[in-house]
Parts: sequence; structure tokens; C-alpha cells
Amino acid sequence: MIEITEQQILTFAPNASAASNGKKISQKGGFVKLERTSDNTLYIGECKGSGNSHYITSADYINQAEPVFRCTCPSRQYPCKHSLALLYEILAGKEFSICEVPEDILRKREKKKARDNKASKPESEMTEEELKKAEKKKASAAKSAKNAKIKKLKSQLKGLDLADKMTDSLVMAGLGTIGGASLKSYQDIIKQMGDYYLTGPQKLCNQLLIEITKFQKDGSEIHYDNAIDILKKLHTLVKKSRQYIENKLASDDASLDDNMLYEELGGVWKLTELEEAGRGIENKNFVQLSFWIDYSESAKLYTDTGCWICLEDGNIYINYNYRPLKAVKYIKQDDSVFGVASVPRAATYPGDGNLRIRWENAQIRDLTEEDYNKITGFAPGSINAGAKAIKNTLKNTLAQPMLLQLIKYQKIARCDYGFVLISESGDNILLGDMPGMEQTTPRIEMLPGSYLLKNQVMLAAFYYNNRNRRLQAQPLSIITKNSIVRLLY
Amino acid sequence: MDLSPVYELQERLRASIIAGANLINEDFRLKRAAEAIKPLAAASPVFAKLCQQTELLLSSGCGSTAGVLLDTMALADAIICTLGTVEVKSEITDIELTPDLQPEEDTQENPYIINAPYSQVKTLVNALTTTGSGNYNTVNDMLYTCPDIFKDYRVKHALVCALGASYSELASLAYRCLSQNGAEIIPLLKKDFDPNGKKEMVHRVNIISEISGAAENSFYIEMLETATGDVRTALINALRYEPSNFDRLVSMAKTERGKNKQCVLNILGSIENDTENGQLYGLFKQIIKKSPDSAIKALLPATTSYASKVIAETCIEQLTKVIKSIEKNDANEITKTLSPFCKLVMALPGKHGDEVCQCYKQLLKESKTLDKSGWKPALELLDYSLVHSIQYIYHGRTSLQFFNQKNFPPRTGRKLTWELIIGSYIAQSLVIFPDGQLKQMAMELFENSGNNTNFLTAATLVKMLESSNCSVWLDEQVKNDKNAMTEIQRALSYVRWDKKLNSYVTCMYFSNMEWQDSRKTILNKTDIPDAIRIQDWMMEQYSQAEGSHMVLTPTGVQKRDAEQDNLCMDEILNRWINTADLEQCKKAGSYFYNRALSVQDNADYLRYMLNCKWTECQGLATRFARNKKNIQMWEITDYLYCLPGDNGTIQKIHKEIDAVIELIKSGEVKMNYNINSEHIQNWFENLKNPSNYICLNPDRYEEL
Repeated sequence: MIEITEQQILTFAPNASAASNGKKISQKGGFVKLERTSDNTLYIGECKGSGNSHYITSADYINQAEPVFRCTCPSRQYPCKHSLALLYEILAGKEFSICEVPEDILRKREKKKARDNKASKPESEMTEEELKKAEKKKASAAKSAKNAKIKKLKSQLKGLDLADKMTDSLVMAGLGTIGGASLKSYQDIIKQMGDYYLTGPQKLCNQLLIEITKFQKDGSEIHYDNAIDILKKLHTLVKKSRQYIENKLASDDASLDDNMLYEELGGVWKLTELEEAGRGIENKNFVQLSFWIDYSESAKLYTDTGCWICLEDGNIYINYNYRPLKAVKYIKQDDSVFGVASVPRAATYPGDGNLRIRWENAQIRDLTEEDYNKITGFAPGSINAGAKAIKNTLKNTLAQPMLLQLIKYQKIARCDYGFVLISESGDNILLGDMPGMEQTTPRIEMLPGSYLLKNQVMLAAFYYNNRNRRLQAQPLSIITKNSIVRLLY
Repeated sequence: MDLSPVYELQERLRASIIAGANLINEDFRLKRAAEAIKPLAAASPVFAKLCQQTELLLSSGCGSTAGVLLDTMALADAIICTLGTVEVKSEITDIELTPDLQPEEDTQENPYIINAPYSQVKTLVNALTTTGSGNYNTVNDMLYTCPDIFKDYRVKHALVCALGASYSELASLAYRCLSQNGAEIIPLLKKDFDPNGKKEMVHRVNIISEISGAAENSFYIEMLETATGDVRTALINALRYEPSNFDRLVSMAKTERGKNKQCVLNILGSIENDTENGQLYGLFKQIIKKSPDSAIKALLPATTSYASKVIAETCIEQLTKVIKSIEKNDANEITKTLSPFCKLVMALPGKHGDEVCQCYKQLLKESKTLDKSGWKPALELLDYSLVHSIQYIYHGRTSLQFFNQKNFPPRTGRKLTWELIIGSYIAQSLVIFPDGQLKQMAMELFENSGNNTNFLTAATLVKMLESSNCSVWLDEQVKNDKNAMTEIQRALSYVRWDKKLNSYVTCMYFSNMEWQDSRKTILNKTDIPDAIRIQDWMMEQYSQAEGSHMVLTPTGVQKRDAEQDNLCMDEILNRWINTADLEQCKKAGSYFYNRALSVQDNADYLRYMLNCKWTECQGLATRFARNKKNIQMWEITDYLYCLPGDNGTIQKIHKEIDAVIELIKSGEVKMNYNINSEHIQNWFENLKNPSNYICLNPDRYEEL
């Protein structure tokens, strides 16, 4: 029988309630028949349905990395609750009798194989005519793509002028003077930015107006601080993007390159594009150290953020799953992952600090003592040694407001200003909660054992607090020799 | 290096963005700040750059003022960021965790660190700490689908917050979860405890006292110094665990007021042994004169010698005044004396000793005079642990009040008199505290009065508790007196079999006490020498007689027919079944099955058959449905889930279900529902799912 964990089942599930329903079916004894093939690649279950009919559901592990789920129920969810229930049956170690692969499954397997082969027929197997055709097609496609990209770049350049005019106008008039009428006209300008493929600056502008509106409601100065940060970012983005686009147009180069500005402007990388840009990585193992979800009002967007460490190089990467509010029902929410994700292919995004990473498939296995040792081994024992580099990263206008790093500590203690982390080498840093992040410092006092406050490793989000003009750290997780204690999720 | 000019410049630039860059040339403060940073230019290239940038901003040939302003702001912010302080210069102290569940690191995994995903933990924590509809269902659901998550340290803290939830069901659920913990939860409950708080703090105290009892006595005392309101009452109540609190409580009896004083008296009244110098006797003798109500409330459930003396002596003293006032025939005087007197008499059950026996005898002697007053104390002081529904846990949802509540306990059919009441009190007294002297008196009263039915309940109890020929005696009583059955049933109904204690018990509640008073419950193990034959005798009493007789109910005299008597006897019989005695179970199961096929509404009989592990179900559901004619979906669902059976008879259950479905489909039985056909299909599916059957999942239900 295949080995399966609940974590894997939750990963397959399209949403939490599908997993929960599947679990209930399994717990309530919903299956009247369970079968598997002798080679353990196919699992079939006959599950009670409505009325007298039963549903036949299956999990096809012919390709271990990408199991295929099938079910005769009318649900459109994939996998449906019956398929998930079948996995729970496997997890529970239920008895499966041996059977042959049904004809229809055999046919479906062959069809899939043929489809996959057709998509990636190697050139060495093509005829001369097929080769010529393929090359012509490629060239034509490439030319159209380039023209489209050039057109887009030109359009973006125009749009940047619009954004520039808007920030100019705002700053000249002053944030404090913006009234109802001008807000309306800015909203109209922001809407137009979408026509110029500038969804990135569009989001920033939306955020800006939200902060101004919030100040007008509650009078809190913090909204002005936030608005100024957005203005700085917008101005820098416009400036750098203009330079970047003008250079590309001048050199007639429409190709995607290794530059974070593409995404900042609103571009969406494909995994293959990232790989072509030389950002692919292969056969790495990652461990998730923290996870959270936040919602951006300005972008009307949920972002599922996973923070991962690579066991091979110790770098910390961030994985984002974006779920626009309008499509939230159709996009699966990410969740915490406990275990090691063995990733055959992944790609990182251009940028500084903690790079964004993305992969399509991963196999999850349990963490071992060796894994924990590796993770803790990557942690530096001094804050001061890395503080300059952290500040240099955080000071950049277009940088993320936080930098995630591991740090080995001898103690977490109390001081006059709150909690303080004392590193292994004896230097210290004030712990705090980043604005906009869920608070984790109150959970320090909830930790279930004082051993966690001594001689462990912390994953912290370093950030600059401009109120007290300090570099601070928000604790996210504590890694011990046999566990990862999440202060978030 | 003095960086204040840089900070000042940053402030001025910020102000310019807010006020508007077109006012920059008039901003003298900005100009001043720009001058102030000039000396820093020599210190480092970045400051020089900043100076340059600021000069450009203030110059007339600036060009895009807004852009330069933002560039300057960005540069100033970047510089200040790189100069940001890291080290904390302050006194450092250790953090003390409450609770510290694991001070030392272990090779074993910490059981409080649960790898629960965001989708579960966040949802649960939100449901526990925020207001909103559906929170209770969310928590309840997760309690059954993923109970381990409740051990997570993040969730525990949220559970404590939920003790103060505005939705009381959620607070109760949190209470139940937390009180299942051991002493390790205590430090968390004590953390940030507010003695002036509201219901969250009350719950905390109750959980602490439930788990730790006397061990946290010093905490209760410390918090009492400043506690107010309901928290104070809860803390006082917690003092009951520690015997050494005696002197403190005696002192508090004088200083506390209102419900807190009552709480103190209640605790003192429940102390088993008086001091050598009779301090409690003296105290209550004093209090009963000044505040008779408070004393009576405190001593009502007490069975101690000093409590018996206080009540009985006061009763006898008051009786003389009462008789005089009745003989005077002054209505005001009667009201003034009889009202408190009746309350006093109601405190007699459970008391024992010479004074008590003497008191009963005096009351009986004066009963006819007392009847003239028109005042009487309540007849029934004790309430039954009614098993009127099975509450079963089905994904955390407790079921319905499905089964009918009978006219239970049975009532006497005669006129309410003082003699009848005293006879009933003697019987109830034997339930609370089966004192030997009282038993003897009960038999004497019965036998010497020519088998007066008013004393029959008490006499039946004595026989039940002592005689191995009780069943023969019962037969004689029934033959001699047609009213005897009601009294005998009442006596029999005081007893039931307790599975956990593996014994017969009297399990009753004081019906005239507040629900939250922990002294309300009576649970006494008891031996019934002739138990088997008494049950056989109960089965023989089934009568197909028609007609009715009169019974006394709280609303007055009413008709009661023979079938109601039979139903009542069956309920009592069910409570008597020793479920470990398979032979007796088989006998009773067969009896109940046959009865279920003959009665109008056989819902209660499912419970009896489940109790006896009876497995035959043919004809039960169809009879029930046909007799109902018009049925609710939830009603028939829960009925079918309760059909008797076992793993070998699932097909029979399915057959019975199919038969009922046919009745519904044919229209012979109308089922009220208002849902679409998909739900009906789901309903059919669930009916045939054995995991819903109570007979196969006994752990899913608990009797009330």
C-alpha cells in the first residue's frame, strides 16, 4: 500500500471543507468495498451515495508524483470528497482486496500517456518536414510575441507618465488638502492605469487613496506615514521602470529578463519563463517554517504566504499564493505544511532579500532529526554581524518591509521596552510586531515550555520601526532539535 | 554624532508632503533644517548627498519639485534606517511562563505543540475570541472532528478568553473543555485574574476549584481580599474544600451580606461534624431566630446531627405558636406564623434523631388542627433524575427532546392533608438519609394506623431497603388497597440502577434549591435485598384493566387511566434493570418489546430495550409511525436511529426502515418536511448508515 499522510491529503484537497467531508465519510464507514491493484498503483472504493446507487471513486498512482483522482459522483470539485475519503481509508490502514485494473482506467491511462507524449515529442523523433513546420511555427509565434511585448512596453511607458502626473499633483497639492472631488478624479486616473498594463502601480495608488480616506475618517497620523511610504515607492518605481523600459525599447529587446521591475509593474511570470530566465532550481528540499494569510483591501486580494528554508543552502524563500476576492471560491487556499517538501523543479523570482519561490509539485515526507539539525545549523549566532546587511536591504524603497532570517539565541527575556532576544554571541535586539502583521509577541508568554526561551533558533522577521528608529524583529517560529513551534501558523 | 538635524530634516520633509510641495519656498523651518545638516556633510558622503539633494529641493532651478521632494525623503529615510539602533540598553529579566508545562527539553515531543494547520487553528482561535454567529457550531464541530487541536497552546489561551463569551453556550463549551484538563491548566487560569471581573473570572474560579479543590485555598483567600460581585461569591464557595477555613467562615458569617452571607452559611451548614463546644449548633440556633430563611436555606440539604437538632427543636417551639394562632382563627396571625412554619417543616426531610422523631409525632398529633389553617408545605421536595430523552452526540449535535415525559413521579389520589404530607416527608427523608430510628418509626406509623396509605410510601421504602420478601409484602398491599399501587410506585421510583457505581442508588434533586447549588444532588448507594423479585413483580402488575382513578397533581386532582399506571411502572422497571445481569435483561427486554407492540406511543420503549440490549425491532417503527399519522422528519429520524439491534441484526433494522419509508411514500403516514429532493435522497442515505445507530454506537449517547 502507498504511504500517505494527512498532510498530503490536505494538500490535495481543493478546500478545507472537502477534506473534512471526506474524513467524515471515512469515519462513518461510508465505503462498502475497497480494492487495490497488486502493484499498488490503483485504489478503488465503492462509496455510498444518495438513493440506492453507489459512487465508484479511485486514486490512480501510476505517476506517484501526480496521482489522478476519478469519481462517478456529479461533483465538480477535484478531487471530490469521495476521492479524499478513499485516501483517508488508506491512511486508516483499512483492508483493500486485490483486483485487476478496470478496462476504463486502462483506457484513460493510455490516453493520458499519449497526450503527454504528444506535448513533448522530442525533436530527434520528428521528420524533416515536421521540424521545418515546427521551426516556422516557433519563429512566427516568437515574432508575434515580441511585437506584442513591444506594444505593451510602449503602453506601459505612457501609463507611467500618468502615474507620475498623479504623484506630482498629489505631492504638490499636499496630502492634507485632498478633498472629495480630487479623490474622485484620482480614482478615475487609477482605473485607467489598468489599460496601460500597470496593475502594480494601480494597486499602490489604490492603497494610497485608502490611507488618505482613512486619515480623513480617524485623523490618525499613521495613515500619513503609510501614504508617504507609498508615494516614495510609487515615485521610485515609476522612475526606475521608465529607465528600464526606455532601455529595452532602445535595444529592441522585449524579452523577459532577470529584473524585479517586471513583476512590480504587474507582470505575471510563468514558471517556464522563470526557468528560461535562468532562475530554475532542481531537486531541492524545503521545510516550511511559518505560514500566514493576509488580505489587501486596496488590491482586494488574499495572499497566502509560506516561509520556507532550503535544506541544501539554508536560504529562506517565500511562497505566495494570490487569491483575488472575486475568484476566492475557485482558487484553493494554501495551508500550513508540516514536513519536508521534496521539489523536483522550482523557480525563484528576481528581487532582493528573501526571494519568492514557486513550484508545481512536491512530495511531502516527515522531518527527521537530521533535518532539524540542518535547519538550526544554518542559523548565525550574532545579530550585529548581519545587522548592517539587513538594514541595507530594508532601506531600499522597493524592498519588502521585512527580511526573514534565522538567529540562534541564548535567551528570550524581558526588558523595559518589552521582549528582547539575546543572541548566542550575546548581542541583543528588541522583539516587536510589525504593523500589518498578526501579533506574535503576546504568544511568547503562552509558550508551553520555558526550554523554548533558551538556546534555540528563531525565525524572525527583521523590520525597521520608524517610530522608535530601531531595527526590530518579529518572532515567527522557534526551531528546536525536534520541533518547529509556530507562533503564527 | 548628533543625528538630531537629520531627524529634524526628515520631519520637515514629511510636513512638506502633507502641506504641499508648492509651499516649500515659504517653509522657513525646512530651510533652517537644511542649514542644520550642512556640518554633517563633511562627516560622510551620504550626508553630503543629502545636503546636495536638499539644496536642489530649495533651489529655484529645481524642476520637478515633487519628484525631488520624494527623492530627498527617500534618501533621508534610507540614511536614518541604516543608522537605526539595534542594541537594547536596559535591565533584562527572565520571563516566567504560566503555565510552564515543560521546563526542560525532552527527546519526546511536547504534547502541547500540535502541528495543526492555519485552516484549523486560525478558524478555532477566531471562533473562540471574536463575536459572531456560527462560532459555537464551529467550535463544537471541531471538538468532534479534531479534538487534539484543543491541546495546542495557542488554543488553550483562546479557550480561557471564551469563558467570557457573550453567547453562554460557547462559554459553557469552553468551560467543559478546560475543566477536563489537569492541574497544569491552573496557572493559565490564575494568570491576569481579575477579582473584580465578570463571568469569565467566575468561570475561572469554578474550574480552578473543580480541579484543585483545597490545593488552591491560598489563592481563594488572597483574591477574596479585593473580590467583588459574582467573583466574590464563587471564591467564597471555593472555601468549602479546606476544613481549616472553619474559623474564617464563622467570622465571614457575621461580616458578609446578601448572597455571599448565604453562601457562607451554606458551606457551614454542610460541614459534617460540629466542634466540641457545639459552635455550629449555637451559630445556627442564633441565625434561625434572626433570619430563619437564611438558616433554613443553609440547613435544608443537611443531614448532620446539629442541623437535625436545630430544625427539629425550632419546629417544635414554633408548633405551639402555630396551633395557638389557628385556634384564635385570626387570618393575619395565621399567615404570619404558618408561612415561616411551613418552610421550617420542609427542612425536616433528611434530618434524624430523637428530636426529629418527636417533631414528626407532634406534627401528626396536630395534623387535623393544621389542616384547618388552609396552609400546607409542598408535597414533593425531591425531584427525579428524569431519563426523558437520550441525548446523543452526533457530530457534536445533541439530539432532541424526543421521548415523551410521563406523569412521573406518580401522585397520590387522595386529598392533600398534613398527615399525607408528613407521611411523604418521612418517605423522602428515608431517601435522603435512611436512618434506622426513622425506619422503625415509619413501620410503626404504618402498622399502628391500620396500614394507613399515607405512610405506605415510607413503609415500602423500609421494606425495599431491608426485607428479602419485599415482593410478597407488596403483593399483599396491592390486594388490600386499590390506592396502594400509586404509593408503592412512588417508593419504587426513588431507586434506580447506576451502571458506573454498579449498585442501586437513590438519586434525587432538591427541587426547591437553586440550580447552581452543588448540594442540590443526592446520590446514595443502597442495597435492595429482593431486587430481582421486585422487578418480576413489576412485570406482573401490567393490567389490561380499563377505567381510571383520580390522582393529585401540582395543578389539582385529575383523572389517570390504568394504561398510564402501566406506563409509569414500565419506566420505573427500566430504571431498576441491572444491565450487567444478562438474564434479567433478556426477561425485561422481551417484556418491553411486547409492551411496545401494544401501547399507543412506544417511543420510550426504545430506550428501555436499548438499556436491556434487546435486539428485535420488527413492527416497532411501523406501529409508532402509524399511530402518529403526522410526523416530523427529525422525529422519525431519531426514532429510527434508536431502534434496538446489534451487528447481526442490521438487516432487520433496514427492513423496518424500509417499511416506514413505504408508509411515508404511500401517504399512510404524513411526514412534514420542506426541503428539496436532494436532501430527501441524502436523508435516505443516512438512515441506512449503521454508524448512526445508537445500538451500534453506545458511546455516542449519554442518558440524562
